[in-house]
Amino acid sequence: MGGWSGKTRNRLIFLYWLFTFFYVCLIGRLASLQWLKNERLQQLARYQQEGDIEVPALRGDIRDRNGVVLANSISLSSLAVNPKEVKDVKEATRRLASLIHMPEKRVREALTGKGTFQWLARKVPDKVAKSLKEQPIDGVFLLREPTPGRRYYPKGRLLSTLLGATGTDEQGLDGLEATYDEYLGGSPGVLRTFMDRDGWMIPVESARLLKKAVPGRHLVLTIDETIQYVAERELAAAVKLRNAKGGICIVMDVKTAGILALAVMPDFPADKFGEVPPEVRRNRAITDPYEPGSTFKTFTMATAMNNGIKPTDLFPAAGVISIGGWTINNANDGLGAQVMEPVSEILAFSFNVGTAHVAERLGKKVLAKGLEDFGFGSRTGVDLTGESEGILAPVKDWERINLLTISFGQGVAVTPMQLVSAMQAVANRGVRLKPHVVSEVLNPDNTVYKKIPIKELSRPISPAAAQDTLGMLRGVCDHGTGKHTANIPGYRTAGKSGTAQVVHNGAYGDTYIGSFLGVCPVEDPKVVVLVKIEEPTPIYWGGTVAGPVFARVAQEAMWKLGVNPSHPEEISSAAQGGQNSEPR
Amino acid sequence: MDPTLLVAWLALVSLGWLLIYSTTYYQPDLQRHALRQGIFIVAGLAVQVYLSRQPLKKLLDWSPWLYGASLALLLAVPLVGLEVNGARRWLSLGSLGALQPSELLKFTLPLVQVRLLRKKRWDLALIALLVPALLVLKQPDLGTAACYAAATWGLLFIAEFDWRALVGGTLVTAWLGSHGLHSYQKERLLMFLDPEKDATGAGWNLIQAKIAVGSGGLQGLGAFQGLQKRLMYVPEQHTDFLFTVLAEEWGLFGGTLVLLLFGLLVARGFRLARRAATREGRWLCAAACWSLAFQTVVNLAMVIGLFPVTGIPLPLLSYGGTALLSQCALLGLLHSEARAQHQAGRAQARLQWAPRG
Repeated sequence: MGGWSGKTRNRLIFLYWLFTFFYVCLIGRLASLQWLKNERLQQLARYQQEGDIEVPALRGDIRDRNGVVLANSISLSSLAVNPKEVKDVKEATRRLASLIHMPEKRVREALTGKGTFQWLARKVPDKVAKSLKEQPIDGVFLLREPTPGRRYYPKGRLLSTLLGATGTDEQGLDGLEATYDEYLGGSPGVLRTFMDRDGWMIPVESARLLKKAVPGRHLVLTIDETIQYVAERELAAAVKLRNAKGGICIVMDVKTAGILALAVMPDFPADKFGEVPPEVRRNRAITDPYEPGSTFKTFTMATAMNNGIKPTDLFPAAGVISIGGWTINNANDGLGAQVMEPVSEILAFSFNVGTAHVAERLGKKVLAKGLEDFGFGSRTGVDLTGESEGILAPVKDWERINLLTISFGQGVAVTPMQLVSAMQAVANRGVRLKPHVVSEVLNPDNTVYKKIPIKELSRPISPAAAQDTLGMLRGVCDHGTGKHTANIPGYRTAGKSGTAQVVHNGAYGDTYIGSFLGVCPVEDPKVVVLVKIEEPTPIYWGGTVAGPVFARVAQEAMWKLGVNPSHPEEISSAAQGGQNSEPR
Repeated sequence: MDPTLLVAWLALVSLGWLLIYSTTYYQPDLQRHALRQGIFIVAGLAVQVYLSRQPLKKLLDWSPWLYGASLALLLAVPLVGLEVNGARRWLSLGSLGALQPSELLKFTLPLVQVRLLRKKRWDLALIALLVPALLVLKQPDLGTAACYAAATWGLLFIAEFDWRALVGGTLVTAWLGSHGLHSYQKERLLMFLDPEKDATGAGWNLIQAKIAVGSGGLQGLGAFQGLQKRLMYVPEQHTDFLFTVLAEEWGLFGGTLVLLLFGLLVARGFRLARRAATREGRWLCAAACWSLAFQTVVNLAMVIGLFPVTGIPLPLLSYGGTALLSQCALLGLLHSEARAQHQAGRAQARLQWAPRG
């Protein structure tokens, strides 16, 4: 071959072998990386690529005693977009804009944004998710599992104080949502997705569900939606009619101490919990103690009945008692007391002087022990947060004046819940049960997970004393301070009115709290109802402002609970003209 | 045309196109890459077919003009070029994309050098190297300058240049280089020895490339399934680091296949050089072959962490139109020589079969 020198040939061969040598090195290295070190490098890859997202569990319902839903969560999907994977921006923009009702401009911005992850719309309605599942758009992802749903309160304002609120991640913040968060919340799942270099989560269709979210359990309340509704309606109407600052109404089942209704006015829409000032959203029925005034006489008299005093025993009821510069007299409500009145009439007409004399007969120790057994001065243990224990001074600190004033509800502070709980004992043959609002917890499939047991708290009085007390309380409605307002056609009610001066800055002012604490029906009490109207003007007598609310709420409860009327003949006549309409 | 070369070429560019398409698979805004590369593959085939029909002598006659033209384009780059990521390497062609004149010189430089060496003008051959090399270094594009130097080195070696002078020249270049480099270039060059030193900075590419390659395993994650790729952990994955996509998605099998195809191409080139009847043929074939082999080895070594990151794309596979055309032109030289050898063989056969008197 022409011009072919051995030197060129050798150099060519040298180059060729040089190349071959490098090639062998390359293949060796490749095999080392992909074969020998494969597992370690794969681990590194997983470590940096994988990112776990918590998948919130669907929160459980809150339902009333009949299964009516008061709060629930709906599982909703969220839309995320990876702008780099969107193929047809124009078409995708058009479709998404009409699907999620967002201006095209904003959709386009999201679809053409920087980075690889962007929320497009969170918690979209189911039909949007369905449409996208049927006809997917490249680069737009539905997060598969229920994302944090929105908490719904289908009944609006109903029971808003009690229900409380959830946070953005649906964690319980207040009220029942907080107390029972461990049941309602469920446990979140884990979704494994992928992260790009900058740590952005990339929605990838191959994302794996590592742990399935376990939905929360449902709460069944003792609350009855209808009674609650009527309690709120009547309370709101009375607050408005009486120019009051607010009001509270509690209805309790006597046999179980379950709360049938708990209304606090002013109220607010349940889903606006966070926007309401704390003094409004606070559950004042358990957090705010107040001087109960005459309703408290019930428990002085019940203690008296338990200590050998009979309803017919006579006590001085007129005039005044003067001790150490203080003067105790009867309320100036136009009802004169005889010099001596039987205990039953002292209660029926709410004579302070008579009650004080009864208390003096009992003595400090006996009365204090009785009141403590009724639960005053300690929390009832109701399953709600923020309960106050009220103020009942220890007996060793009592002076004579304390004994006398406490007997008719001054110098003592109690919560509405404590009053209702004590009255429940009177109505339940002396057996005081633990108040509660949750009766059972259901599994997500509605099978029973846990029943909340009924718990006895104390036995402040004997069944006979309870019977005597009820009889005297019947007198209040029959011919006493509740005669014109606190009766229901067809049933026999019993109760006690109360009118207490509001303490402002340590001194009694000229505003009042009018309340009525009663039971129905007196023969075999089913419910305790407390109505408290705060600072009504100009009329403030408890029997007048709170009595009618008691009557309407108790009547609704009788109907709803299916209690047979003891005097059915009154019902048809009442329909022709009410007997409770005129306030005294 | 040489069938072996053609088949190897076709396999490589097809695979390359698939990988580029894969990098755009989840990024529709990048799909123009795959489209453009497809057009350039067709153009590259046309270039090979055309050059295979031109005698090497004729090409050598054209070489000053080709070299001059590509040098003129390179000179225009600092004046009107596009700047991308701090480097000015491209001339805009509007919607057609951009032209990278430095890639054209990978073809025209050896061509003109062979012509000069034929006349024993070593000095001019070196000047022909230095002018574009310095221009390219200014861009800055160390990798391309290194390619020119390596191609020239290979050509001089084949052309029986004194080996002591070659070794000396290499050392001098290395010494000059260590003084004339930008600090970031030096940092990048040395980082491959210990990428963990700056794992989120200069070492990032190397570590991520290694993870991508390693996680591919023997069989790979499957076509288009690469996660390192999809999550874009490896920068420049459609150009310099395209091999990571192959390794991750096609595994060791895919990687070895590409290495074998390149091996086949280069071996065929050397064979053509060895059998060439003319000095020009030998030199040109060896130079073309060496140039492609050098770029391949350096790119692969870089991707799998055996060599500094120098910014040399993988020939025939990486995205880049000008580079592909230039590489196809080099293959065109091999086709031309193959055609010459084929014709000579047939002529000889005719002679042998001629009836004797």
